[in-house]
Amino acid sequence: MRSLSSKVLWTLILTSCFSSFSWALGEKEAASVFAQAVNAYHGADYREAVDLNERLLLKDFVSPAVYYNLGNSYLKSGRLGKSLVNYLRASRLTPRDSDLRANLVFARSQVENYNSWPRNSVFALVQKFWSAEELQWIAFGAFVVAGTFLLVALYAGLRRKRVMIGMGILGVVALYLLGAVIFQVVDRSGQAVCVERVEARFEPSAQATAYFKIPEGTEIKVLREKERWFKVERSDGKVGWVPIKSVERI
Amino acid sequence: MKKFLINAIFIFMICATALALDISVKATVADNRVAMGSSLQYTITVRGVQDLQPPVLPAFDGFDVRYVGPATRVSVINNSYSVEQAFNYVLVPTKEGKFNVPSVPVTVNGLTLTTEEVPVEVVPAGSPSGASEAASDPQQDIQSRLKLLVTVPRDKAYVGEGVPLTLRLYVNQLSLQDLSFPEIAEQGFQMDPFSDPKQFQDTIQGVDWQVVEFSTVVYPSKAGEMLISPATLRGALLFKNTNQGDQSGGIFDQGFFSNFFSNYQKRQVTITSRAIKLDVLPLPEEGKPADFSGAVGQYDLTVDAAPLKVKSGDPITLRMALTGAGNLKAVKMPVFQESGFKLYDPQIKDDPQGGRKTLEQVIIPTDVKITAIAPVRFSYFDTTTGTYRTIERGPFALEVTAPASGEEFQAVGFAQPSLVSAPETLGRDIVFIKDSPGRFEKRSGRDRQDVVFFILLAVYIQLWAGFLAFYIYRQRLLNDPRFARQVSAARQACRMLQIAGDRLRAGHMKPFYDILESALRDYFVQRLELPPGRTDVATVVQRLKVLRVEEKYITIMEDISAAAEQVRFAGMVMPDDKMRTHLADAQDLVRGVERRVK
Repeated sequence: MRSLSSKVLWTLILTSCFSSFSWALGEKEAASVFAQAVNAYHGADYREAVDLNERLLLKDFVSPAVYYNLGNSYLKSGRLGKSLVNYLRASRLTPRDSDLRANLVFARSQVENYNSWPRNSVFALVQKFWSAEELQWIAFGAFVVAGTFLLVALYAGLRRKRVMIGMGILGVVALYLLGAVIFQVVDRSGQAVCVERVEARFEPSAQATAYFKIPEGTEIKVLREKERWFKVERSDGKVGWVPIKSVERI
Repeated sequence: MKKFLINAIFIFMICATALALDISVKATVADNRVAMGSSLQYTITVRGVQDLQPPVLPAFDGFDVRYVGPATRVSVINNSYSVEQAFNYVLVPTKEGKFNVPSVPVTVNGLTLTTEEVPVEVVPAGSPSGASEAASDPQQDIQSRLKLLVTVPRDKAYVGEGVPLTLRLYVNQLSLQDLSFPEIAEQGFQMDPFSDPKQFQDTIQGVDWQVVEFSTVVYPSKAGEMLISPATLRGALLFKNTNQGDQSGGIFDQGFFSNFFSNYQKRQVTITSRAIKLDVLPLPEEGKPADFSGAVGQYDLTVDAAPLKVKSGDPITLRMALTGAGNLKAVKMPVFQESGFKLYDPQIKDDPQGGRKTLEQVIIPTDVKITAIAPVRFSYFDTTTGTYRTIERGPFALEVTAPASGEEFQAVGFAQPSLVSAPETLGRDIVFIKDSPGRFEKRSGRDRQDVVFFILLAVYIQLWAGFLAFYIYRQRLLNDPRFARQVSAARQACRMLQIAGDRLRAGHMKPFYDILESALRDYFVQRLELPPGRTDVATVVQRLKVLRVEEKYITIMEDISAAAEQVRFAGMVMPDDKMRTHLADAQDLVRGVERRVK
């Protein structure tokens, strides 16, 4: 039994070492592909730049710069919808990047009849400043601080009034941040962009009556999926069915 | 010649009489198709007179004709009196084919008017045709009774030229409600909003149609062949609920009295027109004025400025009004720019319905040398002549005098020194790409990030709750002596029972029972909070009964107590297995009471 446990342990350690080693090797290769994509963009070969950046994503290598450059390359090759998808993906990772914000605003200005989604939730505020990962760490930190404060205060015998005030403030902050994390997880699950001009229909069928049009680059919400159709909602609240191939989730 | 003149005057007088009386005649059928074996109603309606003799239908090929009777309708709307008389006939087909019900002469006040010929097709028996067959294929029949036609007056237009577009919805023997405004996908053109619909009746090939007409104007935005995509119109079709009552009628059996109290249902329908092609011509480059800003149509411009005698620094209001036919919403008003003036932003108002766009701008002369307001020019492409035209209004003579000392006008909203310059045009494009990839991550790792966060948070909250519970437990031990005693009772009893076990293994019978009895006594004193002097077996048993402890534990208590007394006072020797049983029973007793007494 003991020897079996040590075998499992060794297998895990070796697998982990091998995985790290292969990831490090792959990272070098990915950096090289990225540089090739940059060169292609410099030479105005935007299609090549798109292909190279997409290859990185296929190999599971992700970074804000890859999404950003891919967005630029798509925009230069006239694919507005694809460009917006990648800008929005980059925005999730680095929401404070001013270059990215500028390009996102520009790309949205090219969308026909662009209407932004109303952001009424108080939890949406923090999304402008922090990425999902940052927000999760900050929320976790707030919980640790609030919990530790309460325990230390109790063990140290602080006055109850002070403990209540301190705990109240920290608790509200921690709960707000947790709410923001949950909102972000729920909100982003349906976010998508139309990558081609499409007509939303009343039913998930090519023969169904067209209900309304969705220009390329329109940001929509995916409500449900049925066979090869998405049920989507436009920012003005209209709901219709569009083919899956015309929509890309963020 | 004289005879001809008399005849002409006579004919003219008869026509004039008919026109003056507003007399008209028309022939209608319910449908242009009828199946063999069924019949078709044919009606001659004479407007403007009553008490007429029924017109005699000549015999014609394909039908037997039977006169059914007349019907007279008199109506007074807005003090306007009107009357019409309808003569109904039944046409029974005698053979299949295409026929024409011939023109029928109707003599009214000595004037003979004729109806138009009505084409009717007789189809084999059982084929879907007419209202009577509607129930056999309602969907197909609805389509044949609803038509949406889009028309434009011409098939060529210039870029930016307004092309009137008319949409007519024809409805035959259907009740259509909740009509929406038409929708047309705007691709390659701009479109004005649709006007309010007009409703009227039209007779086509002897069949009456209710018509709803919408109109708008489209403006092509690029040259080449333009396709005005199909228009769609939505509405609710009212039809009788066939699940109730007599089901023989179907959708189109809508006799007034039979259906008045029936249950009706609505069915949403979408009617789609055909697409229309338009050949869009580019605007010619030849003769294009430098200030042409894309206005296409026919326009007129009026400009005035007031006052024209001012002191330097006094405001002058420059007013322009552009009128005419064209896309006024998109037309750019002329821009007044001249040195020697301070300019406020113009106020532009659109009134496309009224065919007018106005501009009001405050200009302030800053120099006494200015003698005129420069002319205002507006260039447009005239679609009627196919050439560019330029309208020029002005110049306006201006008399500017120097203000008295201290009366200088201080313009609001201009930084000093204010120089009027053309607005700076900034380019728009995306920011350049990034040269460094930054830190690569695994996309799959990112997907797991949410799960990791919630697991970490759950673990932390559990740990934290554990610490809090431990704190509360410790506080209670410190502050609640009764609780502390109860908690320590079981622990102490267990310790003493261990010692008793040691004595048992050493073969010391009497000390074993002494410790066993002492352990149980101390345990019950603390656990049941008995007074120190009331630790006899009877008191303990009584309390255990009050607490509804199981009977077997009471028996155990009594057994152990009796055995201890026998060993201690009667010198009785207990066998080892009995002692082991007593030790196990004592442990069981403590555990049982702990479970029962909280």
